[in-house]
Amino acid sequence: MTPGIQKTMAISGAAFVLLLFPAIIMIGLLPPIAPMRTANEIAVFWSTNTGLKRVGLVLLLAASGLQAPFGALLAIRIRQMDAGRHSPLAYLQLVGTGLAVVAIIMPTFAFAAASYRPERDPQITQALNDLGWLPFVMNWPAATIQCLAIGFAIFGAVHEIWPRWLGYFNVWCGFIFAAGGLVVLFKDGVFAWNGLLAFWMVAVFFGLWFLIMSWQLWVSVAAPEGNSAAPAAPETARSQSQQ
Amino acid sequence: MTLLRQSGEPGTVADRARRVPGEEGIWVFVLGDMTVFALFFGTFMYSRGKNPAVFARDHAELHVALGTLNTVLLLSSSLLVVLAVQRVLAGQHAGAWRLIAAALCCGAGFVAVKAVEWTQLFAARKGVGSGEFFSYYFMFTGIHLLHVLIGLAVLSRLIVVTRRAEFTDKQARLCETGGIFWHMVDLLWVVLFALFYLVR
Amino acid sequence: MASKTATRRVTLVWVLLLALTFGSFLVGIEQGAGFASVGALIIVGIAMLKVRLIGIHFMDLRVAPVALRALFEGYVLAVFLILVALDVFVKP
Repeated sequence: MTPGIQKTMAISGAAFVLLLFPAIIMIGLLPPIAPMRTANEIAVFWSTNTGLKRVGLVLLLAASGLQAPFGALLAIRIRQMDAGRHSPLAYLQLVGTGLAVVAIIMPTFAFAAASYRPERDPQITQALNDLGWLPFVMNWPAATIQCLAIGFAIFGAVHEIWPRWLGYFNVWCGFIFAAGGLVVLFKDGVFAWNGLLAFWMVAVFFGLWFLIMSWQLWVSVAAPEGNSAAPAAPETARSQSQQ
Repeated sequence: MTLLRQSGEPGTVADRARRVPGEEGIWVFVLGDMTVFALFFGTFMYSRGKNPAVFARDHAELHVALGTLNTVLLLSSSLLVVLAVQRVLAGQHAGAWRLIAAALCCGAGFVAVKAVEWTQLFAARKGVGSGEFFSYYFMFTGIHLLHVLIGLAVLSRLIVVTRRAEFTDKQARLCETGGIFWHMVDLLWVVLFALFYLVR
Repeated sequence: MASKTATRRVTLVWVLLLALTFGSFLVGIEQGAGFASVGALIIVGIAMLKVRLIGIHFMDLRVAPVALRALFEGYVLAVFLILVALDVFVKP
């Protein structure tokens, strides 16, 4: 694993966010359409600028995959912080990464279906719109799993690669992301899918998290294998007592 | 850390002896959480301004006495935690675990009172969908309750740590850090109590 | 040794916090229609005062570096001002 590959994987997280943003603007997801809109209003929404929306959806789908190398490198860092042969937190991180990719592609498919034949019965379009928006905002386990895996890996790190404040930041972000999980309970107000807390606050920290973690992945790229961070001597590591 | 063991009362620190309480990283979490809750407080006050009559009416359904009891419980638990941490930092951690255990009981009491309150509200058919006031009430006090439960887990861990005979500086710092988290839980409740139970 | 001054200080803070709690409880139940706004101001003010006491004395920000202390104090002040402003200016 050369530094070049690591750095590429590191910035794939930032690249994801920087592609996500224009994509969702093109699709018209920013600002989010209100849950209280009638089926007819939603049908009108999906019938306007269909070309632009569809291109945005293609872009969103393409961008979603960038989370994979990013998440994989995060798992490697966790592995490097752990000393033993087995690193359950690293596996947890990989599960989270897989879920994170699904968290984007699933709503993208629903929105694609809504955009595909906008002339259909508005009730159906509204249902597809719901099927897109609810998971898009509600899908917090994917994010929180990653945040908690990283956070706890940092707190229990045998090899200290990252500063501890980053662990606190991750645990806190994990908590914040869970706010999106409540949107099914509300059709308006701050906890609805277009609400200040469930959407905007979460969106801001979602983007921020990718940028900060990309930066931290970049600066923690070690020299080619042989560095102290590499799990080269599992025997010595295992003899260290864990708190 | 050892500086405190010499002086005992860190009230007269000179500027060069200032230190960040607890582990530095906890303040990222604490200040972040406080900011998010500030957002909660602001949105609540804004909605209240838009719907004063509804908010006043719904506010009257809350039991101020129970809310006050909960505030007293958390404030007292915080005092107990401070006393325990002072002992730990002064190198006298034996017995500190009892103070933390007492704090844990107060925290458990808070949860019990909350359960009683919520049961009464649910019985009166008030839930997260019963209008703006109650949706804010259940959401915000619910999220706070989650913090309390996490805090109880933290306190439990501190009890285990402080019961050990041998005690390192790192563990002392852990106690202080855990204490800071608990004080944050207390501090956030103080404002929630004021906004929901007192302000009409 | 955990000094007696330290113990006394935090215990006094606790007593003060309880007193403020009961004080604002009384203001809370005394609020008549006419006093609603002033009452809110007092209640929020007392709450932020309590927050400050918890931060300074319980969280030990007394001994913290100026930057951290300033952040906390700034927070207390900002939240107070924002909540009061929302109370005064937001109308149906």
